Amino acid sequence: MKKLKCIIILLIVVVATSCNKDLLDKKPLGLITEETVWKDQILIESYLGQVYFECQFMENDQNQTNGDVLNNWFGRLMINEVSDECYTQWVQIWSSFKWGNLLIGGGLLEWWEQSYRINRKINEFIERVPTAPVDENFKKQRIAEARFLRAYNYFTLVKRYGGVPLITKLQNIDDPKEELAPARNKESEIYDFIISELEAIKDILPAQQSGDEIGRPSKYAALSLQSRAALYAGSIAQFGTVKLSGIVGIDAAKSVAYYQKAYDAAKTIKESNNFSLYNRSGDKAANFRNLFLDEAANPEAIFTIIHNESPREAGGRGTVYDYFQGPAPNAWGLGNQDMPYLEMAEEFELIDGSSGKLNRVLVQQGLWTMADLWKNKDPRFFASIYTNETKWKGGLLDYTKGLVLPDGSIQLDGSYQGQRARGNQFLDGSSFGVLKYLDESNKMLLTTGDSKTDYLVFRYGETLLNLAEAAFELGKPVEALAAVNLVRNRAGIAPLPSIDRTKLRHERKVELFAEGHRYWDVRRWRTATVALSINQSGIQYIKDVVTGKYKLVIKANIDPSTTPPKFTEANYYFPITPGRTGQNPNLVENPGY
Amino acid sequence: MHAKKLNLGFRWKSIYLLAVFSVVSLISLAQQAVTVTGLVVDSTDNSNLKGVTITLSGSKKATQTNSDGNFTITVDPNSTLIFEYVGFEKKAINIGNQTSLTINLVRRDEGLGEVVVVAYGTQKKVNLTGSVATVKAEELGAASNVASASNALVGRLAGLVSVQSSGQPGYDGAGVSIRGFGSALIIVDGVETNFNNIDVNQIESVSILKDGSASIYGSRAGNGVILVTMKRGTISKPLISFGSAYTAQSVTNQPTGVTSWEFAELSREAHLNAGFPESTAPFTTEQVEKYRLGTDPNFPNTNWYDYLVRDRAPQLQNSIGIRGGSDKIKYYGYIGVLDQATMFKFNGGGYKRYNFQSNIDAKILDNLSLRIDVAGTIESKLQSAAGYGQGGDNPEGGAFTAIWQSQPIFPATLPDPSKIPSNRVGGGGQGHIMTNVDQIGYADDKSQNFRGTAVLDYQFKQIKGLSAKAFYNANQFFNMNRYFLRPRVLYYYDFTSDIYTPAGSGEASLQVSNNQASIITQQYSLNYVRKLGNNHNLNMLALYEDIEQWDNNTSARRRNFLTPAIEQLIGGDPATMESYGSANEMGRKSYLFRLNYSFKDKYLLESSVRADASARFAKDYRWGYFPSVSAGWVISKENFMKNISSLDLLKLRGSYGKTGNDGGGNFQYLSGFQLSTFPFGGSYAFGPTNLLPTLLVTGLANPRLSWEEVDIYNGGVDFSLWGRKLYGSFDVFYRTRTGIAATRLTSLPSTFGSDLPPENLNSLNDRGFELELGTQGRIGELTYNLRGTLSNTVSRWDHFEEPVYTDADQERTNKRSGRRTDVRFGYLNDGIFASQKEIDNLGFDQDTRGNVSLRPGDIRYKNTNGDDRLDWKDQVEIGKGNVPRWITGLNINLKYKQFDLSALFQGAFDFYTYIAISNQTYTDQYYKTRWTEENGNVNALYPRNGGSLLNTANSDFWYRNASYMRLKALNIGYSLPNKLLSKVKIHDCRIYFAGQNLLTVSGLNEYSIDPEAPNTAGMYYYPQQRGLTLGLNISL
Repeated sequence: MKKLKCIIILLIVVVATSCNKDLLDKKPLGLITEETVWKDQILIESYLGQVYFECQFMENDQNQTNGDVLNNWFGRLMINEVSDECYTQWVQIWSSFKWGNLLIGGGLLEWWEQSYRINRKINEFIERVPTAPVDENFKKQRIAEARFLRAYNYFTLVKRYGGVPLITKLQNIDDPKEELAPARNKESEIYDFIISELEAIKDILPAQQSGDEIGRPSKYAALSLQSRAALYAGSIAQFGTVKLSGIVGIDAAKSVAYYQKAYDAAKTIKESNNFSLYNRSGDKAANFRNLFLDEAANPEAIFTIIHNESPREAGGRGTVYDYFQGPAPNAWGLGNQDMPYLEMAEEFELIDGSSGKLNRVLVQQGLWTMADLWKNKDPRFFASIYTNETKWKGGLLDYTKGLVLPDGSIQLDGSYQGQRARGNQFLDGSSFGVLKYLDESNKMLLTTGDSKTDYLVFRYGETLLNLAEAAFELGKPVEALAAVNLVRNRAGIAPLPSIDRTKLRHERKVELFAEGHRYWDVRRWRTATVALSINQSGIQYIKDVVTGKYKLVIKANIDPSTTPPKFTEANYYFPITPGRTGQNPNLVENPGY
Repeated sequence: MHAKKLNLGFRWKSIYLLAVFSVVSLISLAQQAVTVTGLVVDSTDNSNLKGVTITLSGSKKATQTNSDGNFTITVDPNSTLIFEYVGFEKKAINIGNQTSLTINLVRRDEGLGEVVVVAYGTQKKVNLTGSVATVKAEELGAASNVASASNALVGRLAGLVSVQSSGQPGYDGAGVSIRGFGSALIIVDGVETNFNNIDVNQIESVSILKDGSASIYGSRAGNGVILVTMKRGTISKPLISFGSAYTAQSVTNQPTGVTSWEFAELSREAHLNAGFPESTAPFTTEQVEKYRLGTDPNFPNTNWYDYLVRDRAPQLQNSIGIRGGSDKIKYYGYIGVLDQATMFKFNGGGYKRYNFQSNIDAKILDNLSLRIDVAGTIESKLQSAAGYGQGGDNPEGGAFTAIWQSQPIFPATLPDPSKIPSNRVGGGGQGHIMTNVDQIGYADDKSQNFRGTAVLDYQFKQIKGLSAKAFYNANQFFNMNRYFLRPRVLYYYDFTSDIYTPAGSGEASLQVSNNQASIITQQYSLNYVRKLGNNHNLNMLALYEDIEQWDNNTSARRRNFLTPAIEQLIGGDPATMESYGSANEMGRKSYLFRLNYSFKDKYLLESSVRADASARFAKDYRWGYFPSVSAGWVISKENFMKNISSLDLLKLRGSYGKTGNDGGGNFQYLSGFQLSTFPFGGSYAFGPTNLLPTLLVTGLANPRLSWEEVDIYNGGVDFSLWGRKLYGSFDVFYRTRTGIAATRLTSLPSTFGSDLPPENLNSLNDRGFELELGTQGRIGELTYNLRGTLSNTVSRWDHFEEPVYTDADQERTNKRSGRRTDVRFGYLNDGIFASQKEIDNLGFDQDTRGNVSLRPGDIRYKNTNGDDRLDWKDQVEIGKGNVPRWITGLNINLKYKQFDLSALFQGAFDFYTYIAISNQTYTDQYYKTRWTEENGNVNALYPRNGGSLLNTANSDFWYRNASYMRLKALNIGYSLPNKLLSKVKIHDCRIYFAGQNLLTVSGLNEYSIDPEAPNTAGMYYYPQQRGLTLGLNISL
């Protein structure tokens, strides 16, 4: 018994004294120290890769990095729904701002905190990399890329908020208070910064990125951004009003210089002869559609974001574009998130260059085949928009909403002699969908963002339209007309005999439909208070059971008539919001909020 | 899959039965000379005492009284019997040659001699100086039919705030906090763990440490400590108890769906009210009429809620326990099985749980004892892949969202039974597949937790009163989660033409995740208990503790399954393989010392200090010191009080303690990079083949971050009068929290581009009180014990890191420093517009467009600042938070002859919830109570259908007081008379009926919302359940 006691006491002593000395020296597993990162070329690549990842504004005007699943799903589509291009029935989180709800609290397409996070990461990169013990050329290239991303980042800020604080050095917590709480720079200073940065890096970046470098900016990507930004600045100077001593608005006298910059940049791209309008098929509609799908050395692609079929949740680069934008049937029965207005469909002209507007009285009388209804329509219409009887996956999309019976009465439900009164598409919207960028081979099942279609940030078509607009505003209508006609020729419609501002803007609306341009265009032209404050329409197809033709009904006021879309003068700039002005008393709020 | 799990259950059951029967068969039932029978009663009220232990002096022989207080024991004549019962004085009786006895037991200290579990030990309740509330097995037993242990505590402990926000099997535990403070530290038998998966029947007692008495747990104990003690062996003959309970669960309060014609009518109404033209209305009046007639098969009517939800969901519990022992060895064994089904009619999954426990206390030597505890919990939580949680946090959107988005205008079944009907055009809906494991697939979560404890306790012979103790616990967790989505195609169907149109589809995928975790706890202590002279009692404890834990997760996923028949990863397309992995580790180290001193049991003093270190903080900021001191004065023991015979007890208590909260800082002292994951990062592609992993900075580091410090002051009084005819206690407390982790805001605008690391910046204080009042006694054959509790807590920010507001309205609506923590701002409603004239005469711009969008039936708001428009500046305080400030409970325990009744009323007051029904989907309740042009009801619960967008603005129209009072638990039992039972050698047999959430009085009843429903959840959550139980307990 004594022995047992001794053994047990010994045991306690042994266990008690053998306790692990490292018990408290734990750390999060998987942490990589700063010193390691800034010495390692692969990790430096990964650092910049994260910046690219976060710079989603290049594709998508809605911040996707805040963990909000709706942003991840719908972000790229929303921008079409706040403009006069499309309506949506489903996720109206953003489009609800269209109905006059953009107030001082903001909330629409916000990109401030995330912008400055990206800005800080880039500033740190630009400060740290020069001393890294890695290949010199690598450092030069990557720093130039970082500066491209920083310029683009400021472009996303300035087109939203006007002048913002310009911060180009890595801030420290101990920096003077006035540096940490900066006032807003003038709007023109931001544009000037963007333009000069791109000027500085354009010759460092290679003329062409190829192979596993596609997706990085080239010289011509820099020039494209320069052209777009300068064009914005030019039109704001020309059409906007200077307020808050230039924090918003640009002195009208500067417009010519900005247009010149936009013109020069576009002209340089054109004259490089590195790019041409995509023109690989005689079928003009198929050609325009393939422009956005053909990834084999696309001659029109200036800057591309690469996607693959592996979902982002799984560490891949897929998107959910096809799933939400595509027609039924798909996983949920219906995507059709963006529903173009009938007015948008009408914007597409006829091949001979005459107006595509329907005679709304005539069109609602008698019966129509789809071929008659869209006869001689701009081929880009068929490549950009789907509607009733659009070919899809070996069949035809069916937007039938009711049957005209032999006795002339209308049957809304059930069927008549095997013909269903309701088609398989969403019938309570505009009866249009966005076909641009849709990949017909996608299975369109939810849960996985497996759309692999690459996204064209800059394409040559836009370059020509930028060139045309800048040329026109600089008083070079001949050159403007020529550029527009290049675009129209590729599209397969008659050339314009002459050019004016309305025609230019119309061409932009049609050619660049659903590519995220329209909302920003009507803002910089200061036409949004009119263009985005109207009720628009949809259409219904009622099928005649005898002839198979359709009786058409125009649906007026797709947006509710008691709260129609409303874009106020103040909305030309988003509010800074009380949250941010409260945080930094040196930030003045934008006028009108 | 399902069948496999059942088999597992049966295997456990059979192993267990085998074990029990072998124990039973080992017990010899030797016969002796004299059979003595007797009755044991309480000397104060002559009530019969059940469960009194009767031991034959000098032997192992023992028995217990049955439910009538009777006992039978066979002994030699002239033996001495010892009677022991908790709370009563021990009594020894020499039986001589008597064969029939009536024994009176005297209450010890008028019922306050009971021993309660406190930190690292036990203490007589009368000697407590801290604020400690306790509930024991007898009282918890009345709620033994609840699946989650936390629900058994609700309303029974003064100062415990609880909200049960879900009725989902396996996830229905109440959120409990002490004094409303936030998550308390939960210690089960000396080890920090979760206790919701423990069977209530295994629990001996639960104590909550509300004040400085929690300081001994140091940096984790800032929100108080819940101590759970499991049952152990007793010195008695083996007592085997079987328990079985069947519960029928049903929804407490939730609206049901609308009919197809109501749906059509509402859709049409919303369309027209929103100002859309009639020509585009989703339904014509003829169509509405066809739905109403119901004669055309193309115009069906399916109430999806009724179709999918059953009236009664069964829950079955079975358990068997054995308890007994001698002074050398005591044992307790338990096995319990719980099978709780979901509320869904089709295969909705369910919750299964197996608990087992074996506790042995052995005296190896007369001064060395060994304790070996082994326990385990095996759980299986099966739900549809859509998930039954609140909202839509998984890709399929959540089953409850799906049910409510299912439209009644679609049929539930199609003529071809192999085809699944779709019940909504476009996204959402499909409640019928989202609640069915066999259609959408499943989330199958299986976990196992094994706990083992070994304790050695050595009494030094050389130094009287000194003992040493070693404690070792290993807590192992295993979890496997399988998430399988079945492939599916949905159809629309036309009855006239017999045409099926594909409406939607989904592909199969499987994700399998494995998690392992381990927590090792070691404690080594010295304890010194000494009585010095007659008057001085001394108790000292010194203890070292360390805790080490790690976990490791791996998961893998594949898509594009060849055939859904293979529900294994191997069946998926190899091109879609994905895998993940992560791991964590953590350590803690502590030293503590405690001193208890009492003089004549009148003046009581306790003081402790703990030194605590957590690996979460930088080396120099790891160690913290947490002292406490408390004192008590038992006034009733003073000579000058002796004459007041009606006073049983009067005691004053006061305490101060410091504790901490270390949740805020998780290795914030380290800065660096991590490979990032979706949605904050992941990878970026360059060219067709280059997929670059991306690197995320973890943020700026703060090496100075430490835990927040909590100081709590408590004063209390305990009293008992007239032999507990009136007893109770009253506590007031004041608590400050300083150094709450927050990021510095004012000095750093977001243009800085990085969040500042958390620093110990914020501070707040809480104050409140608890009152407990009770009465117990006996009237004729009726014994009663009524006990009520009431508590109140208010919290206020002392400092909240926030900008310096320059605008007066911003300051008014946003500033938090100096304010209560649960203030809510919003618009004040001014009723519903009764007429267009009211809108025209409004006098200010409510909708920012000259009121053109307003119509009668819309909500009218108050323009509180009197300017020309309604904007955020008009927002004022509209209510309080979602956690009740006032909590009350009334426990009623009655016993009459063979009958017993216990009831628990719980009340919660002064809290608010946001009614979210109208902006979700149509319900029958919405249909009946909305404003319409016809009823013009300005007191309608819901404004104009499809009305002004402003109707959903954050206002007191929707933010409603959720105060309630409910009959939380009721238990009525009948014990079979002993005469009957003794013939069949059954010790005790009780049949009972029990219920949960039987009756609720609440202002939210008119909305058909349970008052404990999560804020803003509307109907999109698994509703609370009402349980009706029939149960049987037998002990041998």
